[in-house]
Amino acid sequence: MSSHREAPEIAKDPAADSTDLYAFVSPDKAGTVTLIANYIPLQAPAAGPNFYEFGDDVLYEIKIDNNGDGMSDVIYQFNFHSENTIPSTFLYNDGPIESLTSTNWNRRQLYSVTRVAGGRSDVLAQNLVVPPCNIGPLSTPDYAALAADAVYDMGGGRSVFVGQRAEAFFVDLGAIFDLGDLRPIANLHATFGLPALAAAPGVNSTAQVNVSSIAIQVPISDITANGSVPSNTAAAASSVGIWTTASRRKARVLDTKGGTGVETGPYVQVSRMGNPLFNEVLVPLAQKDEWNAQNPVDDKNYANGVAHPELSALLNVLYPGAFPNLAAYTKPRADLEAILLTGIPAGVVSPTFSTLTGTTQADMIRLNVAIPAATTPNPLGVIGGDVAGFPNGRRIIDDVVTIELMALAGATIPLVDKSFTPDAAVADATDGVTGAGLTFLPSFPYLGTPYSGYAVPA
Amino acid sequence: MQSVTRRGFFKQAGTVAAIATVAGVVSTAPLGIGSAVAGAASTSTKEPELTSTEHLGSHEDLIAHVKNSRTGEMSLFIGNREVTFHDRKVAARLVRASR
Repeated sequence: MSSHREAPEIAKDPAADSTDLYAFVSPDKAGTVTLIANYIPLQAPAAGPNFYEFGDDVLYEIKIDNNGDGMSDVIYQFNFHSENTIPSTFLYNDGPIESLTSTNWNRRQLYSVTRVAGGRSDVLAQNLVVPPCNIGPLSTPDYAALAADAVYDMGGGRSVFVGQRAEAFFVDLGAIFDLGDLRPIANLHATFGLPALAAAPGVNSTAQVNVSSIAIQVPISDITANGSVPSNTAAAASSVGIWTTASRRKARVLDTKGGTGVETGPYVQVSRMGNPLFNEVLVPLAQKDEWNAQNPVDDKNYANGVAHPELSALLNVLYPGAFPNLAAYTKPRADLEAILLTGIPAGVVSPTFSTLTGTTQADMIRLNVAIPAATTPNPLGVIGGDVAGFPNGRRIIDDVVTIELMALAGATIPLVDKSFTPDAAVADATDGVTGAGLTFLPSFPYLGTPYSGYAVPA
Repeated sequence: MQSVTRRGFFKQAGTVAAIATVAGVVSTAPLGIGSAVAGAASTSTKEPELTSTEHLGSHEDLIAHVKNSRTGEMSLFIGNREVTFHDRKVAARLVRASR
């Protein structure tokens, strides 16, 4: 998956497990960017009696590097605390929750937002309400309206929403992690001597599950160096790097009083996410949890997995004869290094397109804030001719699995090496899943209304 | 991380009562530092440094970790801080108290 359960240790800690990070110029609010960090993967909507919530003991952060050094210059921090307002009941709610102040709502979670920049730490808002999970028609009869009330204006052009949303990421997880099976070309798979597979449409493994989102919409000047609003799309100052982290206290002692114990000491990072699939696909399994604890500035230590990706080497083995040109290509993958670690310099895609942040190799979503949102976005982003999409930021519609599979299969090598001709099979290097059927909101926080536990599974 | 003196450590640790814990890489299982220090103090009540005049905040916890009992390397976790120091005598007393 994008980053769902991508490393052995964080897979056991869902509350701190980042799943996806989105960053894009807001399509309906000029002059702003939207940053969304998703956590708590693969939420089955029917989840009573205890529904999903953020960790009161986890520090969630969205970080921005605006000078290309792979270190954070602006940080948005989110801290949570939960409370039971009706101590006598075993229920999450003892009547319909028709407003965020409903007295029927027992288990509530509140949060604060803090902006850290330039040596200052400013609390932007506190005691904001995380809406309840989407339980069903009796408990949350008008969920869309309830969630809409949880979009807060924090002043200064900043808005925030934190709560459950419908999963927007799509992938054929079941096939891909069954030894690299891409169902649309499964008939070409070597199958290790086992009976041949038939080609078939992809299956969305993340259909009808929910996720917990931290979404913030801020003026472009809130995240750029010196508060600028860049207009030159080719300039390095127009691109910023973005990632999300989750951290826990370094020391914890469990006890029998209240079942929570004691946590103290400095925070230690346990989860990180920049580009989708980076840790999942490019970092060796034995290093994934270590990678989660590092900062982007140290990603040169993992750059070999980008320059010589294991999956690219496997493609012509798994699909014998389908990727001969890729198999013969032995140079370091400068295209992937640019896309994922440094940004793409001007002149590679076009004279005016750039996501370059500098020479520091760091896994971050790079967003050129001078490039306006597309009026007719293409889910294939830049390789589909839409320079407002991935890997220029990442929108919720972007088909990042197909984009990255095609890139790993060699589609983007000609950007940096004109002597290379992609194999014909590159066009088929897809899991066969699209975002068709997913619904989104037309405005912030954009991600769709979460699936109701009453309705799913049907 | 910050350094701390042995006296300073006891001034902090001595007020922790039953909430702080030694989670040490020592030869014994983790044990409450409150009781460990209290036990040690009960056998050496004449040591004035064990009488603390400082107090933790009412909701503040302190956790001590003996990382290496031979070198006396210890860490204290309090608030957002980790304080590291070396004191072989303190480490030895904590190990002894844990038995």
